[in-house]
This record gives sequence, C-alpha cells and structure tokens, in this order.
Amino acid sequence: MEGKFTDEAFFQKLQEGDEGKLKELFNDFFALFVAFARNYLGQDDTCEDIVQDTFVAFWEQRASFKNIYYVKAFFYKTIRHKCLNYIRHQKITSRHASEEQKNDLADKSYFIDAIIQEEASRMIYEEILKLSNMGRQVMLLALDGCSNDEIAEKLGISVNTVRTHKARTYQYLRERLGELRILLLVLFSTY
Amino acid sequence: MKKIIEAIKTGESVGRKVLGRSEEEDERNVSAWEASAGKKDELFQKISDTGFIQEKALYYKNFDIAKAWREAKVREHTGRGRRMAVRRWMAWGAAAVIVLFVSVAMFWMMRGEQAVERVDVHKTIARIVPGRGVPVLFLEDNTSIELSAEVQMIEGKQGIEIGKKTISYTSVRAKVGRVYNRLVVPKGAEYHLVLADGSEIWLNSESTLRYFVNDTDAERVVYLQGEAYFKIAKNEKKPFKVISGDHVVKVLGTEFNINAYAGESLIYTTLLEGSVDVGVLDSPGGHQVLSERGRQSAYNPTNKGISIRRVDPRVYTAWKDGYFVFNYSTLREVIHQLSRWYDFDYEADDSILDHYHFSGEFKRFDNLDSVLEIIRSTGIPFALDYRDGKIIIRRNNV
Repeated sequence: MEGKFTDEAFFQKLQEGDEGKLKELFNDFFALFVAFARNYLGQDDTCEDIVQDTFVAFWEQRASFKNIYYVKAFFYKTIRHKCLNYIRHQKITSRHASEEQKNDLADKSYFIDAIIQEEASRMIYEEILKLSNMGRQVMLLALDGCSNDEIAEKLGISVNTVRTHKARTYQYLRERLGELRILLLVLFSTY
Repeated sequence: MKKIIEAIKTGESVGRKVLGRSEEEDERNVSAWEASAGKKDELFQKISDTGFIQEKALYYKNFDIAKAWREAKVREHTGRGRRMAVRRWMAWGAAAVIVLFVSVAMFWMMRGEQAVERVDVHKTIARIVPGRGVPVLFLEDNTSIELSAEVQMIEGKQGIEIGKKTISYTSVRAKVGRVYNRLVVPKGAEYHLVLADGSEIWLNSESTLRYFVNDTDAERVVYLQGEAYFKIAKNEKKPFKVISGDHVVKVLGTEFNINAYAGESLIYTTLLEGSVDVGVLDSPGGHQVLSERGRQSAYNPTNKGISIRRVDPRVYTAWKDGYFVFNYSTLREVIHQLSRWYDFDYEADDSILDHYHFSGEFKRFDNLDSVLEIIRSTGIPFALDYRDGKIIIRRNNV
C-alpha cells in the first residue's frame, strides 16, 4: 500500500475521529470496495448501500485496528458477509440461478481471488493516471469510445499524434503483460 | 484476518508486476501465491488482459465519488456531521422561505413569453415517437423491398412470409447453393426474423443482418452489425455462427444477445441459455466459452482481447421484450440508447453525461418527453432545449 495511509500520524488522526481523514479514506477506497462487492452481486445498487453501511461499521470500531491493512481486511470481510447474506435473503435468484453458483460465491478461494483481482486492477488504473498528461487524456477519451478524429479535435492535436500516444501506451502495457505471461510460463514449467 | 491481509498484499504485488515495477518483496509474494493451491494462471491472465484493464479503468473514471460522499451515511456519525445536520435544517428553513418568495415573483414574471417557449420544447420532444423507421429487405439479386405493409408477396419467391414486424423463411425451396438476404433496420425501428432452420432473431434499431436463405450449407452463418437477440434452433451437426468484423460467436443451440455497433469500442455478447463460444477469426487460440446465464464477454477489436464478467442479463436483453432497463448506467449510455430508438440527435455536456448514473426501467413505447422527465426526477440536474432539430441537454445549476 502506498503513501499516506501507511503513515502513522494519518492513522492516529483517523482513529481520533478526524472527518477530513475519513473523507480521504472514503475517496480512495469507496469505488474499490464497490467493485469488490460487484463480484458477488453484479451491477446492483445494493453494492453501494452495502459499502456505505460498512463505512459506518468501520467508523464505530475505528479504534481497534492496528494499521491500514487491518482496516482493508475488515472491509473485505464485512462486505463479503453482507453480500452473501443479501443473496441468501433476497429473491435475486434470477441473477444467480442455481444453488451451485451460490456455493461458488461462498467459496473462500473466490473471496481471495476477488481481493487480488480488485487490488491489482486498482493499482493498474492508478498507473494509467500517472501517464504523461497528454498520454492520459488520449487514453481516457479512447476508453470512452472516442475515435481518433474526435480525440484529435477535442485535444487540439493531430490525428497522427493521437495514434502515436495510443501506440506507445498499448505497447507499454503489452510489454508489461508480455513479461508477465513469460514469467508465468517459467514458473509453471519449473514448478 | 491474516489470509485476507496476505491477499491484499498479493494483489498489490500482482499489480506492480503487471506494470513492471515489482520489487523483491513483490516477487516473493507472487511466488508464494503461485505455489499455493488452486489454478492461478486464469486469474493472472484476466487481470493482465487489456480489455479487462480498459473496463476497470472506465469504471473508476466514471465513478461519481463526490455523490457517494454526499450521500455517505458515515458522515452522520462524525462530530462535524452531527453539528452540520442541525445547521443544515436551519439553512433549509431559510432556503424554503426564499424559494417561496422567488417562485411567487417568478410566476408573475414567467407568465409571458418564456413559459410558452418551455411548453413548446416539451411539445416538440413529445412528438418524437419510435417506430417511424422502415426496415428494408435486400434480396440476393440486390432488389430492395420496404417492409411497411401488413402482408407482402414477392413474385416468384416461395417460402418467404413478410409482414410489418416479422419475416419468416421456410425450407420449401430445394434450390441448393449459397443464397443470402440482407435486412437493414434503421434508427427508430426493430424487426423479427425466422430463418429456414427455425432459429429466431430479433434485430434492434440501426442494425444490419446478412443471413442464409436455405438451410443447405454445412454451417449456418450470419453477419451482424448492430444489436440482435438470437434464439438458435438446436442442430448439433451444424454449428451456427454470428460474425461481426473479426468477432465470431459459435453455438449449437442457445439464447444470447450480441451488441456490435459500428463505432463503439467493444462488442458485447450476453448469454441467456445454453453456452456459446466467443472467438476471433484467424486466431483459433483466443476464444472463450460462456456457459452460465448472465455471463458477458467484451471483445476489444483493437487489441483482440476478450474479457468476461457477470452481469444482470435483463439490462442487455430487455429491449427485445419492449423495455429499456438500466442498472447504474451512465447518462451517456442512457441517452445514446434512447437516441437510437427514438431517432433523435442531441447535444450535451460531457460533464453531465459522464458524471450521472441512472437505474430504472420503462416501456419502449413511452413518449420520449415523459421518459426524459422520469430520468430528471431521479435528481440528475439537466435542462432541455430544442434547436436545429436537436435536443440540447444542459447542466442545470439551480
């Protein structure tokens, strides 16, 4: 975990009940926890409600956590619990039709995988935000489905520059992903 | 607790590794994870898939965190929050008095021209009704037939029944050979089709389907641009393929929806029943299988990546039963879908399209003006205007 949340002074202020610090925590983690909850409930508004409730529960027990990892662990554990409860009690049977699927969701390894998936994805997104200003703007517009022409017009640059930025970013990501796959192959063949 | 903390740290390490910024500790974490039980390569591949990264980035980018904070229940539990609550009530009281005063004043002032103009805008928008577009059928010799009459006969063709809303082919024609027809459904229309093999297809607005007329080939192949819902008749000897660009969905008999509009960045396939195989032409290795209801694949033609997620299938298929269903969709997505069905052009600020979400459903034959009113009533602050044949949607900072 990076930056301010591992800072002791920050953590102490949070525990003392500083609303400003709570807001920082909320801004950084709310969307992440909703993304995590969606692993259980899909794109349901309930995900947000559950995360909001969990923030309340966290605030009431804030004095009892040793560090930010324990805070996050508390959130994951509580959110999972609330989601599974919701599935059990609500009639969202159409979404998760069979008993078998419900059991899959309740599985511990599904839980661990979901945490890893969301933590890693969040980190990757933050990395995209760290791209050079123009590179980032091009990427974000492209993610929104804008064509190269539209991006060029919006940012006041040439279509060729757009292409260059895109190619560079995709190549950057692809290289990283390529390394990752190779590493995996090596790991699996030697294991 | 320890297991969970380990998972968090592993997630961080995996992220850093995907980005090539891993350090010694990350390598250790990832190795330990690899060595633990279970199949990890699938998850690793999913996380590093560029389509999946795109999807996640889009999610975070569009997340309205300011709104979540405004609505945060936890704020009622902090010291400041409690004091704020009292002050807020006093402020509301004062505001109510002012609003009352201003609205009385406005009522007298607005009775003139401006009020008439607003009514006009709504009248114009209310006149925009769906179903004005006329689908066109292109036969194998490229003659075109407008599908606007209740019943139509084509001279010299047997086995085709044409109506205003549906067309069906039967296998009576024994002519061998590859014969294809094409159906073009414009904005503001939809159409239903029964193929010679008994498969049913619903075509959404602004979509084109090229399909076989005789069921005599070894394979059943159709070409789609736009959106369609498929209910494929079972025939295990003859796979059914839906091709959009280089995106191929292969099935034996099942129900699913494909959204493959030109100009959109992703092609979505949503499974309702059975199973489908989603792949890329000329890339036999890159395919994925959807086999559970509510599984959806997103194919990205720029990098050939296919990612899979779990969705509420109703959101993606309700159009076929005459409903719009939105579940935390961005206003951009909502307006875009409406514009296709009601066939209108629009202009809107990005700031409003991307920052508000809407959940809800309405009938596809509701009047457009009332549909927009419903959306507005959920608290999305926009004002409507109508100029040069376009609906103008502006942020309304009242």
